[in-house]
Amino acid sequence: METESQPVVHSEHRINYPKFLWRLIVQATEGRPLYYAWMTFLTALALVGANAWAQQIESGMITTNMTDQVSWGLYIANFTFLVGLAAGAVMMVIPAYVYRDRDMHDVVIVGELLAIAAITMCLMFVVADLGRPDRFWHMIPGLGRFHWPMSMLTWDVIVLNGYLLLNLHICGYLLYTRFLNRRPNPAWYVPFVFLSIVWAISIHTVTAFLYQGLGGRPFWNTALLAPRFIVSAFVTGPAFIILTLQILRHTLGLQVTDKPIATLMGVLRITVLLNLFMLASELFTQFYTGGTHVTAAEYLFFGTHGKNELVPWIWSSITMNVIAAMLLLHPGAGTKRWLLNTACVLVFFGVWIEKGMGLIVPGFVPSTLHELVEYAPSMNEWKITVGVWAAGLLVYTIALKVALPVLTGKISLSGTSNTAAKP
Amino acid sequence: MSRTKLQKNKRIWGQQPIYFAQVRPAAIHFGTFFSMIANYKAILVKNSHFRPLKTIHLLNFFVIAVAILDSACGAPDDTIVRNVAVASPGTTELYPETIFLPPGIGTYATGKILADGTAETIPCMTCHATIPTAKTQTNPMDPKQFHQDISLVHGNLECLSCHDRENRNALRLASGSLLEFRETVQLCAQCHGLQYRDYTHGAHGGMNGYWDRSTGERTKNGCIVCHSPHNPKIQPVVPVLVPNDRFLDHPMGETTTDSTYNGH
Amino acid sequence: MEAENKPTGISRRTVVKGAAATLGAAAFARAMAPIMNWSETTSLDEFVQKHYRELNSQEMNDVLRRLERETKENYGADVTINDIKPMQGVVFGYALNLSICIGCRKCAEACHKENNHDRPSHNAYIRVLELDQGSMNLENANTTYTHPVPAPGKYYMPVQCQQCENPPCVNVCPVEATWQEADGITVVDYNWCIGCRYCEAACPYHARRFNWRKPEISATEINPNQAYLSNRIRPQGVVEKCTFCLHRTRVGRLPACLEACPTGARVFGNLLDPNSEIRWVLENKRVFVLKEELGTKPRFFYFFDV
Repeated sequence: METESQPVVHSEHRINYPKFLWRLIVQATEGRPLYYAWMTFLTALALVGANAWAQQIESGMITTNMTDQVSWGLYIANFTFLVGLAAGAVMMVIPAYVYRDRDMHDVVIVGELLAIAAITMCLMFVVADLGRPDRFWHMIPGLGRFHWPMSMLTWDVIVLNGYLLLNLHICGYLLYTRFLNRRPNPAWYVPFVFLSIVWAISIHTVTAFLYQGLGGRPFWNTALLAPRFIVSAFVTGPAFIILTLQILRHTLGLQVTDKPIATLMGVLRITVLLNLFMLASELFTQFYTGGTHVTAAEYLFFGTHGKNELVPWIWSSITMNVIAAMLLLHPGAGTKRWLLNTACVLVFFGVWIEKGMGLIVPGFVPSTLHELVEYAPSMNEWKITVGVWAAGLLVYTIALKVALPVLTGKISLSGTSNTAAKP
Repeated sequence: MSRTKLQKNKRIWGQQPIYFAQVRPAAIHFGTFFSMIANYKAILVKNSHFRPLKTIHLLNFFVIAVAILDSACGAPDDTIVRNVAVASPGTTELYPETIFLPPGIGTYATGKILADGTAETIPCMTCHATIPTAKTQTNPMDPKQFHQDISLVHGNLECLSCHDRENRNALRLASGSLLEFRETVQLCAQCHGLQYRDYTHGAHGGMNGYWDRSTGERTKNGCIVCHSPHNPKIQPVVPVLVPNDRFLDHPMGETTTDSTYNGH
Repeated sequence: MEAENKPTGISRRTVVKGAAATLGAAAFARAMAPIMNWSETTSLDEFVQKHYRELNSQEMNDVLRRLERETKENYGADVTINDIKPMQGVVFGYALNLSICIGCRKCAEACHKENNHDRPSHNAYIRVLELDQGSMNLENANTTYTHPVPAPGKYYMPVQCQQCENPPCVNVCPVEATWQEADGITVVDYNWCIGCRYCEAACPYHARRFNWRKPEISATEINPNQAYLSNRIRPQGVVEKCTFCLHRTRVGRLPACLEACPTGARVFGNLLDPNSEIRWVLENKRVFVLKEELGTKPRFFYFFDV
């Protein structure tokens, strides 16, 4: 085995990198019974989703409850939300690198791994929404016909895949150097870290542009959509990471100081309020102006012409967001963990509704010819959605499971046995 | 409004050189990334057979240059010979336009069915030659024996406003000159000038066949195909093909023809 | 604990892991089984088929014959599928006289038959809106009326693809599966569309339809006169739209909806021909377009008499 102090010559990576990967694979398949149970559970859910997707391919998207009036539904709703989650994960990176917060450095990888898992889910949701996924190659530049730069969807394909690669590179590089017990060379990752901050903003901006550029959909056709997306991303990202850190403390015994959590809570306190403020601003514009363009908002919040499918959804969301905001503003949130955790869970689901069903579906109700066709996801759509989330959590769990022992030095080239590294 | 629209349209529907002359200064003037996108988009829209190169998006001027070259050389797709020959309109030889009228116009149906299955019709004068016409038959609601099916609800017209007193085989214009039944459109046009103007310009009455009369002929409906001359107001009809979209509210009694379609 | 009986533990673990992996793979294969049924209906030729505008005449010919064969196999009908190019010097325009439309939906029915639409869904590219006289607020429109028409106090507005000069649906397509042709008709390559439905979201006129499943139509009802870009039976999972019946109009014939109109409310023709009926309407009637403020520049015009 190589000595840590000596520089590893280039050719040695050919031996060390496969070793690194092999150790990660071993680490991913070892664990306590709870780990196996969790993984089996997720795998089972993912398989249910895979089966539902296969049925959707065979029978057509008639297995969904989408229609020509409401042509996007639960899949795109989740996609939109998850882009936000991926972008929000960068909130770990900004304090760590922009503000040189040393405490954040230790947990920054948690955010980046979350970004990887979230983007993976995004891509799966997009594929689930395609009527002809067998033709995905039509979108590959050079092979198919990539309608760039006109189609915002092509921008989204670029930024999402770019973000995935960026995070894979940063995480992979940091873990590998740690595995080799070497100091990472800043030239190889710091520029990418800063790029990923800008890129994180871009993925959610571009995703907002998907909708807000459509003149025929007044509910989406607002300049506030992209800022709202960014703010809500900075709600869900920190909320999810706080929860992850709490769980990791208990399951993997990860040494997390209170500092990163306090930092994230500080972010959350502001973004939750900003998010509500922007929503209020949007609603004021709609309702005070009135006219035909308010119909979608009216349908969403109060129902119209006897149609009110979304009313319970959006009021649940508003309630959750408001309660979460109050909990976060409570002075006890800094010390009482249950308060913070409750707030994080509430705000996570609150934004999930607000940016999913509460944003995508009312864009289609009423339709462009003002037909009022309602949408509630079909069982098959729910199965696929649960399956994708399970697959995403599978990726996230495995990523954390392999990354944290490497980071803490339990797995390294110089050889602690992998059994000792077992949590 | 229509005039300004048309002038605008004329310019836009014009030939390519005008279009590129418009685009180029704009590109030079702004030269920004977004004007590039706008130009590129415009090129795609206007010159829809222009096939963009994959790497062309990098340079604004490159985009324009390639587009001009491409249009100068002729777009590649135009040279491909496809299954159906391309016809070009505007040739001087035009196919005829005929006016469709109901069969049996200007005759009386006796109600008998002939051996060949068609209704027996007789010329009006078969009877009217022997029936003396009252000097002033103004009440159309009082046909004694025949024409009980006719109720005249057409302004304040009388039978003899359109029918000739002496020659029942013909119609009569306001000028007094006789008109064959087959030329009934001229008779209607006496009063309904605006409709007639629209009709002659293809904007009223409906037609079948070819929009391009250098390729094929066309049949237009005569007025009385849709408007009964004695009661010209269009009678209400029951609409067909009610939308049967999933989850779209259907009126009471409307059934979906396929139960599986709504069954999820 | 495992560390204590490490030698046997690892081999047992490996066996268990291997078994779990095998089980997982088998479960995955089972879960994905429906895809195998579906893939049998999709030929390799279709999978590798190039974009419409990249096919040369020989390749196009092969595609057309294959599609005819597949229609025979799947639907039992003998059809002719042509690839019909735009005519030179023609840009199509359509106008509709709202004063004389009676809302009978004969146009939609003709569209339904002409374009080989899915029968159970009554699909058609035309939606007829019943509106209150004195208002153009689509909010109060009714599209599923069944009472006799024209009803008192109502007027009717059929809406179909407006063949925009600046079509938002074309801009948003990520794979160029839809584009505007030289005669102004926006078409879809049904064999290239990936079914993302972004165009459906972008269209302000509800002009696009998605094939939520394989269209159902009996062999006897199939219109055998078909074109690649218009009325051939669409595959499952792709978007379709009105093409002004290009299989008819590009050979000089009138569109099916116009021929079916019992009142002559519809006017169709070549916008570039100053003597055409459509040009007469544009020059002599006060026409308007739907949702003009969106800047889509429709080539479908509405007008009232008087």
